[in-house]
Amino acid sequence: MTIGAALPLLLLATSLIPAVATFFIPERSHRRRTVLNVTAAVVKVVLVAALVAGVLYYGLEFEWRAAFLPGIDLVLRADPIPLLFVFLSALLWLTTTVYAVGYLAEDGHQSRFFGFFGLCVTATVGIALAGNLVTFLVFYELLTVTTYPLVVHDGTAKARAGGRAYLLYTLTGGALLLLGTVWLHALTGPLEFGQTEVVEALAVQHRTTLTIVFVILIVALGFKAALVPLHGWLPQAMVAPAPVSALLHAVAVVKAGAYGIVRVVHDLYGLPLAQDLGVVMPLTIVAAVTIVYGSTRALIQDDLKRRLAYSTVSQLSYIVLGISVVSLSSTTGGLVHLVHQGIMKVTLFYCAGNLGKRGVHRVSEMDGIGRRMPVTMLAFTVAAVGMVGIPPTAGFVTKWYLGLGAAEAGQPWIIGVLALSSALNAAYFLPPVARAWLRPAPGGRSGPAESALAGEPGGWLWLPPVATAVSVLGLGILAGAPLSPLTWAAFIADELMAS
Amino acid sequence: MSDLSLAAGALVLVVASPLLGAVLAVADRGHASSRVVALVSGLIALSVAALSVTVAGSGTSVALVLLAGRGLELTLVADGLAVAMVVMTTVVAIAVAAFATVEDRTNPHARHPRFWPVWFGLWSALHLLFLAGDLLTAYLMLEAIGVAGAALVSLDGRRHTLLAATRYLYAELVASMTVLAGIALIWHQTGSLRFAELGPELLAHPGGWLALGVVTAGLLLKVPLAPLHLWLPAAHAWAPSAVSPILSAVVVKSAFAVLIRLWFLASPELVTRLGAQLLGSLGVVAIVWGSVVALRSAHLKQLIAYSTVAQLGFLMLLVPLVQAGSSDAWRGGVLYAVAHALAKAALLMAAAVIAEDAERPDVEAMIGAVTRRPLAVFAIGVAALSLVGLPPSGGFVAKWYLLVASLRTGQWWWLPPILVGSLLTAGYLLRLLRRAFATDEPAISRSTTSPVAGVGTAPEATAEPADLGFDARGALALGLALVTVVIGVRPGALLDLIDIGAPLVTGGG
Repeated sequence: MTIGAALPLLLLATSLIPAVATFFIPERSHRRRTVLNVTAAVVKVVLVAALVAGVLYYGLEFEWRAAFLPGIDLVLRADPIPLLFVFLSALLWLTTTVYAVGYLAEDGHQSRFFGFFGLCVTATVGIALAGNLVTFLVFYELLTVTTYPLVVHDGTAKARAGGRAYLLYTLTGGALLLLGTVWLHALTGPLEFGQTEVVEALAVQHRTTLTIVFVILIVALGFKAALVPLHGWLPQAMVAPAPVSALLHAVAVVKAGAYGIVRVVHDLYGLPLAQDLGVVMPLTIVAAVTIVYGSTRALIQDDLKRRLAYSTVSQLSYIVLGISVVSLSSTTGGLVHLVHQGIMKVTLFYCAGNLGKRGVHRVSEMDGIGRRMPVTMLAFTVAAVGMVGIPPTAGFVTKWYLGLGAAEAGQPWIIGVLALSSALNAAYFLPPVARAWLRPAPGGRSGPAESALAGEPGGWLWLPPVATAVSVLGLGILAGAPLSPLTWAAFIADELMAS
Repeated sequence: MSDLSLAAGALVLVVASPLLGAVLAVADRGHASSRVVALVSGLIALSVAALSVTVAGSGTSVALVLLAGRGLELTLVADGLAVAMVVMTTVVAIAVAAFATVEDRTNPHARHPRFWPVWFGLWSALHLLFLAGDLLTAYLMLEAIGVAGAALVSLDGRRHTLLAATRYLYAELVASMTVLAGIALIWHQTGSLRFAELGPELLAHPGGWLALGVVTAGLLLKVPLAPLHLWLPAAHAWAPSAVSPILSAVVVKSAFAVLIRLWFLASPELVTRLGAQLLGSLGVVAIVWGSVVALRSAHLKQLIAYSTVAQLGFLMLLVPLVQAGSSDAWRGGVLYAVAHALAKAALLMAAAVIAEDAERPDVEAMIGAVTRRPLAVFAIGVAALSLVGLPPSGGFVAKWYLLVASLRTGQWWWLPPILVGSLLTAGYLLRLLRRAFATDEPAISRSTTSPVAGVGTAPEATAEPADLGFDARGALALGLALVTVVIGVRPGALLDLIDIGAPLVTGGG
């Protein structure tokens, strides 16, 4: 096996093997479990770095394939778009693993948790690197299934209800995805991502069928991407432990849906064909509606994690909006938001988890919490400012490119949507920040803590949000640097638009 | 030549080796020791492996005529369908036999002395049925399987088990009479009962359709296909824990295999679109009926039994699609049968383990099971993966081909039943899994649920859960369920095997 074939497989193995091994680690061996999982996460980051370097500097091709069904291969391939997603998930897996180790320190089922956690990441890497729709489908469904035990991890009636809603929605989406995939295969035979000319050639004869299949695929993926009205599971699933929310909202699940939409539009149909079929504009409108609706619902949630969940509904559709508008800047903005949304949202969920550890679950309980937990709240503030889109954060970069793209494409109404959404973002993100820093704490104890970390929960829980919050700033300030996600996204958009 | 004789030897051994087990068990007064069970199972496994390797290696069916020219000739045909079914039978039966052996070890005198002889007899009859090259042998084996199945259900002698077994037996008898009447008609018209010779002869006679119809009706009652399934749930739900897996996984496939062999391999000329569509529609009825009852069922094994009713409906979708000329449907349907067998047996084994420590038969036995019996719960999860048809599993590949077949033949109306049926499957299996993760419900412990708790005995300490040790039976269930995952990752070899002797020109996929 050449290195080109081995590396993608190795990326899967670095989370699959530790995950399976973790199931067999006795519950009490905290150290062994932690060392195994953190090491695996670090190794994966190194491998992803090697992958990126190989593609960028040495022009290597990374592709692994194996016969699956007669005539259909399982393919893992490191194309430019996959690299963006793999890079994000590897980095956030590392921070989330560190976070989960601290967060679950007193939990009684850690081996089960980390086992399924590793399986989820395996599935995510598979989704990211999938070289055709069948491979994507296999890992997409695997992700659905392996996330369920994490969502219901606490075992409470609420957690189980959340898990049930989660499976109900995602399995329905999965069934539709299967239908769309089979249908497309029945028309085209073997089909890989990037072979848009194959689908294009069919458009002459099978216009209506292709349109129907496109709609089926987008609706199917829309369940996980939480497009309104398919988003109902996301606010319910927020009962899961904080590291799981991070996984759902930033690293894997919703991202898999949005990423799938990117690939269907750009790598399966191709934007020109999709435009020709008249399905792009409706997608843009659905995304715009989702953005405004999610923000409006977020505004009225007092429960912090619920508010964050509706914010995810809204933020994810920036990605869909960006890639469905035909212009260089929009596509850049949509693609880069895959990374930016992940890093900002993961920070917010880490912070919400830390606040939850101190008994703060609602926005109305956050008065004066900034003095007791300055580190957490500083990270929260940075990420919230990013979400609103204030410079110099990553969120600003996204919104700038989306707005620019809307102008380029001659669709100024999108700028209106973005402005409205930013106003709403500010309206639901700034009040908790203001409460935390400006209002006195209830019960009169308002003096600053003896040290910065005294009020923080133990177990290094402050570290991951700080790391990701710094990245939120870094990705904003250094957006134009070589190797930044923005540069990479612009490069991809350039290629997509050129073809 | 040597290859052929090797295949012939393997064929004979495949049927004969379980009989050896029956003889040894009788000689041992039924108390087959684990060593005997392991030895015989190993021998069966070897012969089945030899058979499948030779058939898969040569890529053609192997036929063997025994007792030729004595008026009583017995034809054995090892084509793709037969070998796939035999492999399925053996894999499931070995897992269940091991499961029963573990039970015997913990509870040495609970097993009825007739269990092991009947068990090995059933195993042998199943193999002979799948390999039968003529209708008479198939009929006799169906009869033997029915009687052995009912006997195994009844062994514990409790009132409701006897009742269930009696109903099972009556249904089998009615079905057998019907099949026999049809066979008599066929013989009357064609003078032959060999599958290979039936088709053109039957077509030439006006009564051919009638004969085929009568046999089909009998077989449908045996499978059973809704609405003829009413005998099944009680029999499968009340059967002992080592019996229901073989019944729900393998025995239900016996009449199905005869049916599709008769329709598509023996007399494809007689099969009409109308008849095929009718059978497919009954399949849809089965999917909906079985799933809806399973969604509401309070009893754990009854829920699983109705799941079997529904899954048999999926299997029946093979009929209209193969009739329309799809080789994908043959692959999908036969693979569905195999995948269902592995998953269903694993599901029943795991459920038995969990219900046993909870000491209650309803779905609430699942509460908190993930802490008590993680391996068994994991087995249920993996089995559910395949039953729902999620990748990577054999069930996924099977559903993929059924969907491809529906689209390619233009029979799009089977798409909604397949997809909605899969979601319903997820719905009723999720009822088990979500309870397994519960932590806030009162935990089930022996002392709170036993009907005689506290009567004259000291109350047990309930604070610390008892250390249950290594769950060998849960591990067996998990191992069996993981076989479907292996098939799901590498389905190529099994699909190639199924294609051997398939009713249509293959390669259309």
